[in-house]
Amino acid sequence: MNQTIRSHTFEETYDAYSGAVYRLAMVYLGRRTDAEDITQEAFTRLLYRAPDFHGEDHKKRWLLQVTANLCRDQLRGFWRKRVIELEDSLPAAPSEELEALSAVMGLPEQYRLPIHLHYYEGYSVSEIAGIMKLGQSAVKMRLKRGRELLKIELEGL
Amino acid sequence: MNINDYRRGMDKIVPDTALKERIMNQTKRTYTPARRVFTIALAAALSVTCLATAALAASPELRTAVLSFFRMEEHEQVPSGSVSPDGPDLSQADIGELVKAQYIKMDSRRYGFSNGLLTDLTWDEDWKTLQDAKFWEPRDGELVPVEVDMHTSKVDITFRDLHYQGEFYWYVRDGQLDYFSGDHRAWDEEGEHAWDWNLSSVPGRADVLLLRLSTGTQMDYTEYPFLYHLDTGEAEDILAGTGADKLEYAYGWDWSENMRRAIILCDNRLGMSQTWFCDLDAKTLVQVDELADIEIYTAAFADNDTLILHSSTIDESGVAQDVACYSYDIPTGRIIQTLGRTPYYRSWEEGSSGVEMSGSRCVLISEDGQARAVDLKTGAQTLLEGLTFHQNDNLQFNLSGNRLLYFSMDSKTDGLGISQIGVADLEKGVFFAFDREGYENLHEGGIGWDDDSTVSIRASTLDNKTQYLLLYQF
Repeated sequence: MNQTIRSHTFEETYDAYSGAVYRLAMVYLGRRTDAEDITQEAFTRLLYRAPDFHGEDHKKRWLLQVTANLCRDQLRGFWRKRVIELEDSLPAAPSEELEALSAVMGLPEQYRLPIHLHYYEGYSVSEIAGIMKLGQSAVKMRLKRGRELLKIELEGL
Repeated sequence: MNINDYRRGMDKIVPDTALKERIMNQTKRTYTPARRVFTIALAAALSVTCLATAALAASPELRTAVLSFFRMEEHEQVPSGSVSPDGPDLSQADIGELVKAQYIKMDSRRYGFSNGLLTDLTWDEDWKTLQDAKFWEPRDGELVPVEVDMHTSKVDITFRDLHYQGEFYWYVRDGQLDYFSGDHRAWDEEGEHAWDWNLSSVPGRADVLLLRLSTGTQMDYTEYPFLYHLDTGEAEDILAGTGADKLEYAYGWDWSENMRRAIILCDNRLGMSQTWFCDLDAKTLVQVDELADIEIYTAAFADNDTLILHSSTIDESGVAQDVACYSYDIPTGRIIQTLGRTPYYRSWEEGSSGVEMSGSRCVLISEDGQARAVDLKTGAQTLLEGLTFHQNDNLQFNLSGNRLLYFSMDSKTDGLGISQIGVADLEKGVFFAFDREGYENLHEGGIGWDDDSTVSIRASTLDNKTQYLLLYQF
C-alpha cells in the first residue's frame, strides 16, 4: 500500500495541502515571498525525503511539522529582515477580518503557531505537540497565554 | 471581531498559482550542476579504464511499435454505500473478460494493503510497539482471515556517534517478505537534532532489508544504508571501502536491482547538489557527470549494467526546462543518445506537449495529443494509437516498465474523479480502457500500481465515514 500512497500524484497532494502549508508559513513569517519559499521547500522534502506515511492525516501533519521547522530555521537566519511587512502580505478582506489576522499574526512567535493550528486547522493539543515537538503541557500553556494576549473572541461565532 | 473573522480572513490567504508551476517544475529537478566536492580525494579510486573508454556513439535507429487503443463496451459500476458494522467486507465484479475488480469497504483509514493482504495494525501510544496485527486475504469474493508467522527484530547500532535502536516486525508468506515499523525518531535534549531509521525492501530478497539510518531534518538531512540480515540481526556496511560514508547530506539512494551499484543524491541547505555513482564491487565513487563528456542532470538505472543519464537545460532560477537522455553502458563506458532534447510536459497547462520522465522510461506527448512510450535504454518507441491525450489524462509505468496505467480524470469532482481507466501492455501489444459510472459518489484520493498487474484506488464516501480500496487485476 505504501507504493500506492507514494504513487499518488504529487500534484494532488499539492492541491490538497499547499494551502495549509502556505498559511502556516504566513502565520510564522508574515511575508508572502518567504511563505512561498518555505512552501516550495516543504513540498520538495515531501517528494524526495518523505517517510512512509500511515495515512493522509499523517502526511498533512508531517508537512506542517516540516513547515514549522523550516520557518523556525528561517527566523533564526541572520539574513532575514526583522521588519515584517504584514499589510503588504494580507489579502483584500473586510476590516474585521484583517484585524483578526493582524491580531493573531502579531502575537509572539511561540503563541501564534499553536493558536493557528488549534483554532484554524482544528488540531488537538496532543497533535500540536507532535507537530511542534513540544510537550502537551507546553502547548496548553502557550494556547492559554496566546488567548490572554489576543484581543479577539476566540470561541465566538 | 471574533475567531471566525480570523478563519474567514485566513481562508483568503492562498498560494499564488505561479507557485504551483514553480514547484511542479522543480519536481523535474533532482540535480543541479554545482561545486564538486571530494573530487580530488576520490579521483584515485576511479576506474580510469571505465572513463577512458567513454565515447558518444551514434544514436540508434529508432524503432516504433504501434498499440491500438480500444474502448471496452462494458462499463464499471463504481460501488457506493456504507460499511458493514461487522468490519471490512469485499465485493467483486468482472469488467468484460479483461479486468477483475475487487472492492474492499472499511470503517477507518487505519487499514493498509500490502503483500496481497489487507492489514489492520494496532500500535502503542508512542507508535513504537506493534500490539496487534490482523490480516485478511481477498479470496473468492470474501475477505478470509489469515495468520502469519510474525517475527520481531531489533535495531541496535551506533553510527556517527548516534545510537539507533528500536524494533520492527516482519513475516514471509509465499516467499514474499513484508515488514512493519513504527516511529523511531529520537531527539537530543534540546529537541534540536533528530535521528531516525527506516526500512526498505530489496527486490527479490526475503532474507534482508535495507536499514536506512538518518540524521537531521529538512535541509540538514543525511542518510546512510546498511543491509540488515533478518536471520542474524547483523547490519552489514555494504558500502564499506567505497568512500560513500564521507558524502555529506546524502538523501536519495537509487539501487541497481542486484544492489551492487547505487546512485546517490546529495544536497545541502546552500543549494549545492551532486549526483554520485557508486560501484560496490569496484569500490569506486564518482560524480555522474564525470562518466561522460556531457553535463548530466540526474541518472537512473535501466538494469544492473545500464544507466540512463539525463541532461537538462536549467533556467536562471534553477528549474529544468527540457531533457535529453543517454544510455550509458557501465562496463564499457559506451554512450548512445536515446532521446533528443525535449521540453518537459506541463500537466497544469492546457495544450502542453513534451516529455514525462519515469526513470529509465518516459512518455512523449505531441502537440496533437499523440502519446508514445519510450524505452530510454534502447530508444525504442511505442505509439499509443487511437488515444488523444488531454490535460486530465495520465499515464503511469508499472515497476517493471512493461505496462502503462492510463486514466482520465473528471475535473468537476472534488477528488480524482477517475472517469476512465485502462492499461497499455507493451509486451502483449494491447491497449484498452473502460468507462466508470458512479465515480462522483466517492472521493477518490489516489491511484497507482500495487504490483506489476494490480492497480488500486483509495477512496472514501463523500461523508468520509466509509473508506474504499478498489483493486483492479489487469
